Amino acid sequence: MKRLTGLLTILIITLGVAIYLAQNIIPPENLHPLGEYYLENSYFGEHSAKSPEVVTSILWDYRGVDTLFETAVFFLAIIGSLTIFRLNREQSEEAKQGEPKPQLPEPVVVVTKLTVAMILAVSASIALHGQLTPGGGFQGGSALAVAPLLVIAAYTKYALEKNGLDKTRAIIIRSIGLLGIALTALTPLLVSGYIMQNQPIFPGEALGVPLGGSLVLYNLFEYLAVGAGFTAVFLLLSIPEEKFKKFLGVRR
Amino acid sequence: MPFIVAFVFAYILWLVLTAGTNGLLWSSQELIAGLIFAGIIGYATKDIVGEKSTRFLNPIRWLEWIAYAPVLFWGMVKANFHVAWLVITGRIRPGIVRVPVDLEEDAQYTILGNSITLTPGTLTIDACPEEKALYVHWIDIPKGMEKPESSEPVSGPFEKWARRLGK
Repeated sequence: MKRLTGLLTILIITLGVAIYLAQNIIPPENLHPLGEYYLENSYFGEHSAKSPEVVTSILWDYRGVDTLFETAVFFLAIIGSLTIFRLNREQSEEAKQGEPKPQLPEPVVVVTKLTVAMILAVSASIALHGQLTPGGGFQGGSALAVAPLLVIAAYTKYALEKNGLDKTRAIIIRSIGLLGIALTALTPLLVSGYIMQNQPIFPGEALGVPLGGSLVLYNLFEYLAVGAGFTAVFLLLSIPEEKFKKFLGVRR
Repeated sequence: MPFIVAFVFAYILWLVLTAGTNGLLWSSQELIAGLIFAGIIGYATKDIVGEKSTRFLNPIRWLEWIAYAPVLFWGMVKANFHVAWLVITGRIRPGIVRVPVDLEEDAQYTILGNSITLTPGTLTIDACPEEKALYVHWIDIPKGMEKPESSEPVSGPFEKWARRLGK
């Protein structure tokens, strides 16, 4: 009985607070003038980014240079971790030697097979519809990086490397992504625009699909760079500790 | 063949994510983009998905999955009310039981293990195909059920379904 009274008290208090809050929190009626400007301009308007998704327009167009520097920060973070875990040729060959055998109970492995394909499809969809719906390159890339992480957890990193995705390849894909971002940012300079200019240099739509000019390119390249950058770091982090101790000559 | 499984799976998922681009259906651009990306995903994951996955291309199996959905849902509804009752009364008898099962394939263990985990009150802790048993944490073990003879008291009809679905 005591327990029931306690539960009822909690229930009544929660309901009371919820009803009170629902009536007393009023959404603001006026937009900030800057917000109004973005909402009116991102698709229609004179300073259009040709994208119906306002957040992506702000990220990669109106405040594009800011995002470019954020990408540079991320680039430095990945470079930093790669430098800490630097191995020479023989050492990285030795780090790849191992048994690609599932470490977890069977159901986990079976579900991993399903979810890896699923995550890849979802991440591609998030990244490539970034100019149409919420999402974008960084979000898609972070989702993409979960797929190799799951394979590492369920099968060990050696399975990933045997299937052709080793650290070098991941770094190459990441470099392609970063190079693409840099080229997309610099292209407007060639046609006497300013850096990271979007309209009217890049096509606003193709085959009836709104592309948002350069937004779709930035999203695609950021997707590759973030996904592959995380993958490279995950591959390094999953090298067993004993091997690192051996490389570094640590003795107990 | 594993390529086709991953391809079909990724393409269906793409269609689900992009539904509504042309009325309620799909615009042709989305359909083509989906084909391209499902192809890439199929190629990238064909070694992970593995040869055994081709049995899931059988359309009869898909109908069986659809038939299984209400069974699972009903099991979850019943278990939800039971656990709500346990929360209110506070009388529980938790413990881990070893449930012997008669299954062969990995997929069967996966389906049964996940169905048991999905229903509130029971949670699969480990699956041991070599000793043909699941270890299940059960929130309210009935008296005399500490060593169940089959999976029936724990999970009802799920084992029968898992055996067919994962064949």
